[in-house]
Amino acid sequence: MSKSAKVTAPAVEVPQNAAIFAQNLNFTYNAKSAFAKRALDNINLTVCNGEFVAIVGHTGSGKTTFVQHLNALIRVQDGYLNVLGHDLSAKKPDLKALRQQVGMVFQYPEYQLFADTVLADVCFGLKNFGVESDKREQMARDALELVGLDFDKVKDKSPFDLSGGEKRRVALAGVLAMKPQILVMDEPTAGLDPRGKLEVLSLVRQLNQRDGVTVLMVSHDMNEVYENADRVLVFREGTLAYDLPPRELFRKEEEIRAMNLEVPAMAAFCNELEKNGFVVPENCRTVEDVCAAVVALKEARNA
Amino acid sequence: MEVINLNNVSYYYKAYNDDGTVGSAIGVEGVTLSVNEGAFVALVGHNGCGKSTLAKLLNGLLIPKGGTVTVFGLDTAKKENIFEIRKNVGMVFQNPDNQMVASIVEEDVAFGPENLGVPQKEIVERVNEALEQVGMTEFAKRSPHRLSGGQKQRIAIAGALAIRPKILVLDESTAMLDPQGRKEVLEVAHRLNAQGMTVLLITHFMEEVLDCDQVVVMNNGHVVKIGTPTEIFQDKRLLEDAGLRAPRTAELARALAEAGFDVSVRETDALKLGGDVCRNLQK
Amino acid sequence: MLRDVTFGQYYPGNSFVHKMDARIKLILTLLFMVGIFFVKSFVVFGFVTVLLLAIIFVARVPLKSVLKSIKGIIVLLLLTAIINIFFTKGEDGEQPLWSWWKIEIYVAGLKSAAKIFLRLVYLVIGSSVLTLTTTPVDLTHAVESLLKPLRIVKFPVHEFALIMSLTLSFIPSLIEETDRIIRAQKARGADFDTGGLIKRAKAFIPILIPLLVGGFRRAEELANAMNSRCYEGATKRTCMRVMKLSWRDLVGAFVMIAFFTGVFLLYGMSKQWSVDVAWLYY
Repeated sequence: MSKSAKVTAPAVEVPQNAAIFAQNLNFTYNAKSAFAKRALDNINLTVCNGEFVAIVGHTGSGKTTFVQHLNALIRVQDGYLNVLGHDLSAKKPDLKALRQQVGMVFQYPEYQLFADTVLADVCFGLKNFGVESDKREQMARDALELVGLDFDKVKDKSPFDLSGGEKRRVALAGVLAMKPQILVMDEPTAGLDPRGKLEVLSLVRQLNQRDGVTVLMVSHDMNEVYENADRVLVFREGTLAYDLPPRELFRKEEEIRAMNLEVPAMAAFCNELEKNGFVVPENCRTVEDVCAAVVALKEARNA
Repeated sequence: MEVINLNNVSYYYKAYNDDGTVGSAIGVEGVTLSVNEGAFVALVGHNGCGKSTLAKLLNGLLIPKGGTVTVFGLDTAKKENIFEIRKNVGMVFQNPDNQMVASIVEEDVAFGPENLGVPQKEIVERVNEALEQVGMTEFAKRSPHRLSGGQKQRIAIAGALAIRPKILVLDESTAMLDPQGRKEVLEVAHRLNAQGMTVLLITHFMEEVLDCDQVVVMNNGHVVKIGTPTEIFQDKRLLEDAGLRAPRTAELARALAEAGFDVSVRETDALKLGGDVCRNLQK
Repeated sequence: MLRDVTFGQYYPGNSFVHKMDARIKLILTLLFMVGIFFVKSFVVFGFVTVLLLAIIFVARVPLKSVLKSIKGIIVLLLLTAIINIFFTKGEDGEQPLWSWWKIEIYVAGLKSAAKIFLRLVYLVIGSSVLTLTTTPVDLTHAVESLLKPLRIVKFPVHEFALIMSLTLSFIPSLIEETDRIIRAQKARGADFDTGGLIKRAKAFIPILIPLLVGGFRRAEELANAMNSRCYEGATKRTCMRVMKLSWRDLVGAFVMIAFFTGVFLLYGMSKQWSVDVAWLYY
């Protein structure tokens, strides 16, 4: 199309089955000013379709800057980024199509509710993305039922009259209604009580396992990360410090603590067993799994 | 000595029914509770269970619709007592950004003593002392909004301490913080408690109640159980009903004990539990 | 990201001017603003320029950040001056420099336009020297202290100052919140950049409503926090911040008052003996 355009950029080979592919991604806030701050430093990674990836790191580690790149809320400054086939390093990516495919749930999403009814709020995105009006209600119904709300009961209510947990679900439904292929969530369980946390996490797992949605979840709760993610990305001072499956990552207890992160309780327990020469299966991460594994170890010994 | 006494306390909020008529919703109902001087008490329950309502009843932000709340023998329902009660009950809330009244740390901390009419020289002393107690002295002249959540919340605690209260109520003060910030706030709370401060910690993170003297579990506006942390952790039914969850290590210890392992059901340290299990397996 | 908003355009420093009492600085700035209107000749403008440069030098703020304050409104200032050219008639017997139809331009008009321009520019520079060397917090305290006499007429001085202070402390989180809401709605496909005026105005509803709701939530929490910290109005309140005058304030005040006494005297003189001291008139 653009024959005169720069041909200097080398052709980037995006791996097959990659939902997200970043190569040498850099980002600096307030570049060229006295307040310049490097937020991303040479990030290279691939996230495959259908993965559940957790992102951890402290405030200012670059994790938020990175996830905001994924639906072009922050535009690529330097390096290459491809999300679901959209070249985000290009001058004009198709933002509408991209944002419909990449759902983004911000921290405390209930603070973004605005419409006078739950239905209208959930339909906001659908309307923006040009879904025909006669299809919207059905999609909103699907989304609200997915998050466990009774559509007929809540649809005409004001979102501000709901309880805190219900508001969060309505906000989630507002993103899920668009049926995104990638779901990016910034601390989706922050501020929720244990039951609320479990509900949100099981919803996310369901989307991931049943519907094949690729999930990227920023979290500070290492237990939550450990039990749910297939892979953990650790950001530190703008760099991608670790990119490992949870068991492997949390075996590095010293390094984890040095970064001021916590070692999940079940990981610490399993590590202790492994240090004493016992073999614990790689996939056991929840209390139930660990308990079953230990019982199996005992039976194997008795046998 | 008893410093807080709640006798059959109820509070109801105004609420709109589905048909638009005005009804009421339970805040707390029939709560009877007593807190002794120097205790570290945790108040736990799911969101909306009434624990924050209870906190606000303690310093007269809310006045009970039934029953009585007394702090150091003073009834919160009597208007003339309120000022004296608030001098004795320091309160820190959930969102650190929404409790800052000034854009310089030390001026924010000074707000309380200024309200009390403390002479200028003593205000400076109190502010310095309070900032030292929470380990934020070096930030005195800074603007709070650039600090981390944990640091902001420590400043909010300093703001309460500058009034020199005898009771500190942390009303979900850790709910919005990351683990690092929560650790900072809890450390400060325990340090103050060691120096004699009565602390009431309101939370739904069960990991935080490990070192408390007493845990009060609330559900739907009622107190459903009072006990030590390990007693509470073992009551699986109760926790499930109350929408809570024991720390994972406690859950595992209980499950292993039930499966016939020789481990203490009170164990809350994952490393120790791992060591115990190893010895079991090596036998 | 965002520059520290609470500090406004404050330029951190430790200079003579920074260390001066905010109240004195505020009063002297007002004196400067009034005084500048009594400057009638280019020669005296020259003196004012020297004074301003001297202050900026002593304050050790870069000239660049001082000039930045005029950058935004330079067009407005120029426009005001230009309009003045057309509305000033020449003195008796003066021939217009240039005329077309009913528009006449006189030398006097050009002179007066130049003076108005200078006056406005110096007004802005003078006030920005104040804000560059004084934090908004200090200014708030200064305003509260200076307004104290108004208590006699029941003006709520303390409440006024408290509102200023609360506003300052809430601006940063308000900006952050606005930023976050905009991003969240954008992620849901909101479009703030295209369409007609009405469409664009409508696009802001999803930002304004959450901000408003958040504002009420904040207000409630803040009220609880303030009540818990024994806030009961101004009746017996004391203040941690003491504002003390030092030798710097005396020196600063002396220089400024001496200078403008001169300006006022010259103003009076130029009216009486304009013929004798012609340079005062230029």
